Amino acid sequence: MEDKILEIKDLKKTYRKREVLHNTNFILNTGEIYGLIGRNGAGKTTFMKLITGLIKPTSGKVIFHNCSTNDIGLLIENPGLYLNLSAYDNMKIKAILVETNNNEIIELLELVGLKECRKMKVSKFSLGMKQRLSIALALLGNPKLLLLDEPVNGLDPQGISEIRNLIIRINKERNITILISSHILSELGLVCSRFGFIDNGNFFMEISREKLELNCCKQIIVLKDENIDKLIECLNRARMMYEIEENEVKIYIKENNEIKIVSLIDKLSLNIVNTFEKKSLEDYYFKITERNLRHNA
Amino acid sequence: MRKIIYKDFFVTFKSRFYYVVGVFVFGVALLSLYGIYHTLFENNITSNYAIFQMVNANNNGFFDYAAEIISGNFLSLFVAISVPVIICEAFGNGYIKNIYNFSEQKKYYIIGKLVSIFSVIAFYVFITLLATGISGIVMFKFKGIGNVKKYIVFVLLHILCNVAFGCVIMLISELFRKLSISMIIGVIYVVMLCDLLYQTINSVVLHLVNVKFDISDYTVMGNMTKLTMDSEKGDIIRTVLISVAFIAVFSVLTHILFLRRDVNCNEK
Repeated sequence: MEDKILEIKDLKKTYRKREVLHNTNFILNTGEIYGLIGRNGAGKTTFMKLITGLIKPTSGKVIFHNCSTNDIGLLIENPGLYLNLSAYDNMKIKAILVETNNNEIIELLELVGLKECRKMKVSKFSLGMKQRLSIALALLGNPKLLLLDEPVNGLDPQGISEIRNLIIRINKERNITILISSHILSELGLVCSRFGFIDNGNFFMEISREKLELNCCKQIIVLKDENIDKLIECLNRARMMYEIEENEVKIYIKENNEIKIVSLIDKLSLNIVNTFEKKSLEDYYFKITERNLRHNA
Repeated sequence: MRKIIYKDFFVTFKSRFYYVVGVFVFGVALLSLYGIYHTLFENNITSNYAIFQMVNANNNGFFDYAAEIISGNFLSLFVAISVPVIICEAFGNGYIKNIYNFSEQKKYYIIGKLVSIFSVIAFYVFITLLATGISGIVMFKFKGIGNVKKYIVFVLLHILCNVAFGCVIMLISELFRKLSISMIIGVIYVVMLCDLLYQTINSVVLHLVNVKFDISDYTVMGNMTKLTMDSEKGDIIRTVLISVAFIAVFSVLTHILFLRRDVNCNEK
């Protein structure tokens, strides 16, 4: 069993009778990068703010395991910085609270590539630099859990790539658990190990990276007949993914084995019932959101 | 607690804002001193105006002039401008989000703010001393250093009253969490609302129960404006009690408000 770092039980938030987060249950495991996916106004920021205590829940509990609220580093919405102070001074303010030395400030500024600009006023920084400084701020005091809300919002492709690489490095080198939210799904797809889908304040689905990749890849559904055992034997031998359903077998096609499988199906004279083309994370998101909407309706 | 105090102290004195206000304090103090100088020496006025009595009674030492500058509610206007910055800035720029989750930040929030308010007021008092010193070189010829003992009591009382007034502004700032609104309310209160309010309350009480009552005896601003270097012991005790009561009540209210409210920052 994996170690939990954060557990959320029946968390609910209501603003003037409007429920913005419905009874939510959630578990975050130590060391993972969890991607929170949802469109603008879905409840991602509210969820993050509730975890940090920036807003108070109407009901429910936020439980930290082997850590406390002091062990959270966060970047919520826009970077919150003193624009009239230097990058170093902004770091120093939090460093006083977490009692870290100047070396750690310099080390973190170096990690985010801002060591050379540490004496520059933040008002002169680009948005990407501010985002990176906010991440450095969040990392001060060696947090065990990092909450990043839309960290690539408003960044150019180079800035997005820099932040993405930084997040992966932080997770690997410092073993920090990361909860990251974004509506730029392709970015989350590249960094997260697990995904949660949220819409209208509802946590409606959770999926692992492996399962998501399977769901997004091309699928061929063939009808079961007398030759199906031969097909399954071949698939097992080639370590290919498939699912046996009542009358059909769903085969997950990866780019490097598509021709091989199609020729095998052809050779065994199996009937192809349906084919689903490869989907992007966006397509998958739209599909399940639509399904969720229909379900709620 | 030490960390919170140091952090707030660091933020306050790293900000250019208080130094800019300090320059204004210096300028206004110099202008006031020039006003006294011009009236007293160039026009040779020896009237019964209270403000000049002290100077004419041969109490024209350095600290007597310094006390004259901060008498009334000279510092309150600057307190009304500075306290909203101390409270609202971290909400305005969103920095509070980075540190709000720290338990110490929540526990000792008000202590840090009170120390910052005190430090800023003490800084402005120091500037008035500086302005008085410079005016001595340029305009006046001080007869000695004046009554230091009385000055210390007088200035400590003024600082205490201004911290108490700062606590009222602190609550207003915490309530609105908007720099501009809090500043406007504070300045209007100092400049005109305060006297108007007291007069209205006094006349309402007189009208209702036919008792001559002065609400300003029980308010920080009222006591502050009545303070002189020669205030009696009873007045001093009353001023101290009222200021301490104001500080306690408004600090507790501000702290409760800070803990109870959600943090929704209005970042630029």
